[in-house]
Amino acid sequence: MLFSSFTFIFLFLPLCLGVYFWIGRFGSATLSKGWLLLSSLFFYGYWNITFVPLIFISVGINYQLGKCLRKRKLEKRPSKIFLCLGLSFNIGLIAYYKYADFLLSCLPSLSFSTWLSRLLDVDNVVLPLAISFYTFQQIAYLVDVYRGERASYSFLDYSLFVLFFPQLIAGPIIHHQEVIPQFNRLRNLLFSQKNFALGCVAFFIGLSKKVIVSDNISGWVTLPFSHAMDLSFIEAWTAALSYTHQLYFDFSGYCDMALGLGLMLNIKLPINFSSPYKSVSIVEFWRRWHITLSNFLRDYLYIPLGGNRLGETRRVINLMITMLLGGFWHGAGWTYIAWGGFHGVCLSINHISGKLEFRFPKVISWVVTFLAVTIGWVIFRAQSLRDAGHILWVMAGMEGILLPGKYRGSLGPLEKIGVRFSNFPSLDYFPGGLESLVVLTVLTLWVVFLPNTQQLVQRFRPEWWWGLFLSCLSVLSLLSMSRVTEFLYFQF
Amino acid sequence: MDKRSFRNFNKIFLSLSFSALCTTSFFNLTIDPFGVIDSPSIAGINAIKPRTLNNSRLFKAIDVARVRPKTILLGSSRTDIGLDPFHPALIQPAYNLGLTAPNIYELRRYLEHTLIIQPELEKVIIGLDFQMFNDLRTPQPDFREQRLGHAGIVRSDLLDVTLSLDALSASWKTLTRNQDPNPPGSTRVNGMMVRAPREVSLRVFFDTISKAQRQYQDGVYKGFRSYENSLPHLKAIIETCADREIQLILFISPAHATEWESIYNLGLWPLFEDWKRDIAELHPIWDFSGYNSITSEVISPSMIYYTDSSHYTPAAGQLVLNRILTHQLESVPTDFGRYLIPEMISFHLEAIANERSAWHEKQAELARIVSDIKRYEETRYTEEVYPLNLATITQAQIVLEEPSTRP
Repeated sequence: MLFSSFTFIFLFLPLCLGVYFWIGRFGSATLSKGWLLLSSLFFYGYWNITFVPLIFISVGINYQLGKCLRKRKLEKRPSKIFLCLGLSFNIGLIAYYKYADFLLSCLPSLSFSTWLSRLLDVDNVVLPLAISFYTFQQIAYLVDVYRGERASYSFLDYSLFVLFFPQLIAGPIIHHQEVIPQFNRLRNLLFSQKNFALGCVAFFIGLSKKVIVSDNISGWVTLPFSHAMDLSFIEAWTAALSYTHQLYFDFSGYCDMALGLGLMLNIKLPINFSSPYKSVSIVEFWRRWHITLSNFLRDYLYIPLGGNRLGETRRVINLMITMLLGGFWHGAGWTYIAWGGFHGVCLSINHISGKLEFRFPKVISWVVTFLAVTIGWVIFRAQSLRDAGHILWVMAGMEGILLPGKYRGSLGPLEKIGVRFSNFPSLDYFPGGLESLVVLTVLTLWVVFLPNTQQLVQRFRPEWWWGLFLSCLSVLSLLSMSRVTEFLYFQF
Repeated sequence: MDKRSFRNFNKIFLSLSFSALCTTSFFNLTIDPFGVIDSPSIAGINAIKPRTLNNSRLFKAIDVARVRPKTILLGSSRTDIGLDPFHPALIQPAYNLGLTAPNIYELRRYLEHTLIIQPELEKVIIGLDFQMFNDLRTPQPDFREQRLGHAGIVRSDLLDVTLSLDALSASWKTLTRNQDPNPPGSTRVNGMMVRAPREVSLRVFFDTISKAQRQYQDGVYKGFRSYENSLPHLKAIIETCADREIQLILFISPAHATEWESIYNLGLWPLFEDWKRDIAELHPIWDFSGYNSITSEVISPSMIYYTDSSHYTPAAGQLVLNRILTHQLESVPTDFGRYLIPEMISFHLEAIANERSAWHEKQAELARIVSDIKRYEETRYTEEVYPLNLATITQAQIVLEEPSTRP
């Protein structure tokens, strides 16, 4: 079920909240959690019920492995075996469902890969919803238990932690220690007017970011990226910037909605975005973009690899490994790996320049960071590395700069520096025209200067004008939902 | 902050949102801009519904159930604006089921839809276009499988036409249009888009030629290599009609000669001929394509038979129906409409090739312009090889020759 659907907003959510708080009045956390688990399963299975057994098997096996690890935490060897078993199970599951096709295509022998592909029935594999997210959360749980951290939960608690519907489909990637204790707080079982109001603010701001902004600019992205080799200068730039904003408004909007839903249920979920496009360095960008993923990669990959404790060279190597794998987590394709690698290089340069105490003025740092992030998104979104290379080549002006002829009047003097104007035919992959340039400028100013959702939620006061503003926003968003595009992060 | 102020906020927020949504739904349901809810039609409020013109798939899926026709005229927008369902030789009621830029699968599904809601269908006339059979062409985004196979509106459509900004803006435009005393430019009658008489826009005419020869983005014949996977849908249509004892008449739409010349320029002519051969093997078909006395009409703002190079007018549509329904044959030029059966196909194809040569002699300038447009389309970003813009094309195309046939 999509958050941005009428079924969710008008049927699922009121029923889920209503029954949850009605049960809450009896003061039984088990009953309330049972209801939430049931609702979450319905939410997950609504789309495709065939994925439900798989997530249950994954939850069951991980829970049992966690229990075994807890029992044997004093004996080092058996614990290691159980941890390896758990890691292999989780990584094996995601490798089969998400990466098998890609990995087989990389094999040098075609006949062997065809044979293996038939054996594994790869052609008929459908990517189970949210597998990337629940795999990470459960790996974190197993590693924590192995490390001896306090993680003794009932099966109900553990399954609800994995399946809790606000975060299930697209994050934030939650940590068991920050969420499970909240399920058991008796005060959280009762309806809170304040949390409901705050939840509505976050939810509808998130919904508006997705359906009013992101979905409306998605048309400026799909067309040019599917004709990458035919793009001209202005088309390539608008496509790149449109995607930069589309992805941010889509993903952060979805996370805002998740946060809002959590609040309505009195559960505080971690913040996933903190105005990433305000960053003045790539290091800062990764502290603001998909924060829960960055934290996971830092705690469970980068630091175990040695982090920055083994000298600068190892730090760069560890960073590159972390980012390449982080990129690969986003999707089974070379473009994702290249995107991860590109960010790894940028982060390394950023660290080294930091050591050298080399500083640009803040504005230049912002421009360089924003450009690097945009270049990254082009690699990420392009259908192939060749496409990505061509778009970046054109964006660099290597194929000349061609602008629509109607701007000759105002921009005519640019002809002296080699800019060309074309009357006929029109720029075919510039679907938004001049309007897109205005909208993209406004969006860039928005993400740089305006407060983000968390800041707005903090500033929220239960005044009448907030009620009016939120009503307008919610009505506009609800009325924009009939043209909802697929959520971008579902396949990751 | 006390608990009460949050309670008040929630009350204000929920009641405002709820009432705004209810008002919007009520407004949209009353105006019914897409003509799919059967709201009462009130003059000055919603009697004219301009938005039914652009939403043929939604509107016709529901409207055809209201009319329950004995005859349907299936096809693309060419059929939509060219074939009059009130033609005297048609079994009434007849309904024009022309859709905008469909592929053959969509036509098949709309025929099956009609058969479910009207099992007593007697006659099906289909205007076939070559591009409908491009294997790469997928159903248009407004095609929805779930709305077919039953009468009435489906839930997802109902939500779209009541609770959406699109519907709100459509309702508002419908209301303001109904306040306007001027008669509407186009309306829908028994499915047909009836357009008020107007001059042909030469810009649109030549843009359509460009679009036909475009090999990127929205090019009509873009990537056309095969029709192998599309032909079975036509076969299914033919079999369904045979099983139900429904009379089926197929015809190839009479687009303007410049459209056929575009197909020739694109190198698709051999495939086009093979396509005709394969269809004729399945079912006899009337062929109105080529360079006959109607399709060769001289391009000018006062054209009688064409609105652009792809779409024919009801005047040409009447000649098509006269020919295929054997009605007032004296009004139809003898070279307009060839009956293709396997035994005669080579003869007809050769005749069309000869017509093409004759057309090239008579309208050499126009033929050159059509091939120039192809060249422009191929080299679209190199301004240096664009010696002509649209203005010079439209000036250059005036050919001082009278058309051979007028009604």
